[in-house]
Order: sequence, then structure tokens, then C-alpha cells
Amino acid sequence: MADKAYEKFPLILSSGRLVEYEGGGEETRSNPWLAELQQEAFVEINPKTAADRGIRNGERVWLSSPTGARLNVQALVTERVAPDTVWMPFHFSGRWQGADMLAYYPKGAAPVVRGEAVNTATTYGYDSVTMMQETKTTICNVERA
Amino acid sequence: MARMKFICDAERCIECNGCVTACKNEHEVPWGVNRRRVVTLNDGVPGEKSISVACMHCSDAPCMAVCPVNCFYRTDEGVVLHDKDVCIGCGYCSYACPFGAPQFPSQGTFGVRGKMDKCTFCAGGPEANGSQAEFEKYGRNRLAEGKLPACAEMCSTKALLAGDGDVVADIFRNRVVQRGKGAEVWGWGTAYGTQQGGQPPAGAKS
Repeated sequence: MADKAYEKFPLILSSGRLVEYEGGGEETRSNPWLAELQQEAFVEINPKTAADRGIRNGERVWLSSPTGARLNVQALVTERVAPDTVWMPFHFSGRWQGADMLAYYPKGAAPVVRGEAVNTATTYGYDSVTMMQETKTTICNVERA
Repeated sequence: MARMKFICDAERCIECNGCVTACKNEHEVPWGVNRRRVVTLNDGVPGEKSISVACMHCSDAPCMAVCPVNCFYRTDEGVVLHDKDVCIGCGYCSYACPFGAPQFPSQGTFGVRGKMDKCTFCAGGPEANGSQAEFEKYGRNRLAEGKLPACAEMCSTKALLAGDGDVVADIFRNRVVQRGKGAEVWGWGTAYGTQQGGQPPAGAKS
């Protein structure tokens, strides 16, 4: 706490599932019927949090975390999340800190939809009792891209 | 003869998009053409409701009334179909439709849209039932095989009902009586006229 990371990263990032995709999403994002329904990686932000940062619904944002990661995703402004929390689906990959990784896929193997992977942002934390790594949440900040 | 209708029960729809995916897969509908879609109202706030929307095969279909080349026709089962060989892609039907059902495959130069595409209630088109020509233009003809539309068959909560209007209205009415709420059927009045089955009795509260 000495580095006061919580001041630079005042928001809690939680991650979860979308109905269209499964797991890391590499397979389901390759299915056009499903990919058409979720075409962008996004972060859900409370209207108050978004207003404080001048973010409008549908705009690109940078989500930064204590690892130094910066994720470029679309903002979904919604009351579904509380003002101190933001939420991202974890089914995306294929974009890395703003860059499209299309060129690195073997020919014909790239999924239809690519986006920032939430695990780029999650940290090294783990549960001291179970020794389970913490890939579900982290602290973060979101700013307009 | 049965009169085919759709009902979507907003109390049950969980916005899983199973109907959309079933439709896309059954008819091999290309990217960007949405014969059926799920619309969510009040997304992310208490009271959020979702409904699945496609062509409702209206009793007095506005698309049919405005089409300048009369490409629409109604089958014995009340399904509103169209002939893509006659369609000129003018787009009048999409302006007339209260459900946003007509879809156009392209946005080309000089407003070229291509032939209109829409939900067929899985009943194909004017070509011979089950023929390859019919499949390529309109998708699979499930009705001719004695099956109901793929979207409703696939619906995991049975929110979307398709079939004989009297039967689906009865199922819906029983649900409303059981749960004592959610009597509004979105789009039913617009598509089939307010006096028909599935509407709540006068003065009923949802």
C-alpha cells in the first residue's frame, strides 16, 4: 500500500462471461453466427464514473492496471455496474494493448472477432489460503482514448 | 387451416440470442442480414425486458400494401412470403414495416440494396418445397416438412412461441393466469389486431 496504487487505480475491474462466447473465446469468436452478435471487446462503466472521465457510450477507452497494461476497449455506459466498479468480458484475445495481432495468426486461423484479453490487465495476486491465482479481478483506471 | 403466428413472452426471454443463432444457422443467412433479432429495453436497470423480433406475418401486412411490384403473397397458413424474382429492392416495405423485418444484403452505389430478405416463418418461397433453388433464396422450408420455425423450437425458455395462433395464444393465456402478471404481448396488437387471442381481457393489469 506504500505505493498508493489505489490512488492511481481507483476502480475495481471485475470480469465475467457473455452468453455468446465460451472460455477464452478463440473457438466461439471464429463462428460467424456468434461473432456477429458480439463484435467488440468492451468495458461496462457506470454513468457517473463515465461522466467524471468525459466518456460517452460507445467511445474507445484506455483501461490501465498496476501491471502497466493498457487495454484499448469500447465503453458500455450502464447502471449494471456500481460507480466504483467496471466490468469486462474475458472471452477476447487477438488484440494486445491497442494493436491487432492478426498478422501473428497462421493463415486462415484468425477468429472473426478479436479484442483485448482481460488477463493482460489482471495482476499477480493470489489467495494466501488456497494459493489460487487471482484472474477474476484487479484494480484499474479507465480514461478516454 | 391453422393461422401461423409468433408470440414473444417478455417475462421469459433471457436475451440468450438462441433464436437469432438458430435462424442464421438454419437458413445460412449472411453477416449483416438479421431476419430475427433480440431487442432489450431498459438494459442494465431494474425492470429490464427483452423481446425477440422478426417478421410477425401480419394479418393486414403493411409491406404487402406498399410493395409497388406486388411481390408479397400470403400462404393458406397466413404466412407472409415474397418472391425474390419479382422484388426490385426499392425498400418501401422496410419503411412500412412496424417491426423492422425487411433486410437488404447490400448498400451499394446509387442506393442499390439487392433483393429484400426477411423471416419466412421457415416456409421458404414460391419455388418447389424443399428444392435447392428455394433454399438458396429463402432458406429451409421447415413448414413443408411438418416442423415449426427453428427459432421457436430452439428457444430455451419457450419465451418465443410459433404455431397456430389459437394454440400459442392459449399457452400464453395460461401462463398469464398462472403467474398473474406479464399479460402484454409486444407486437400482437400491431400484427394481428387487438381483438384477437393472446390479448389481456379488458381492464386486466400486468
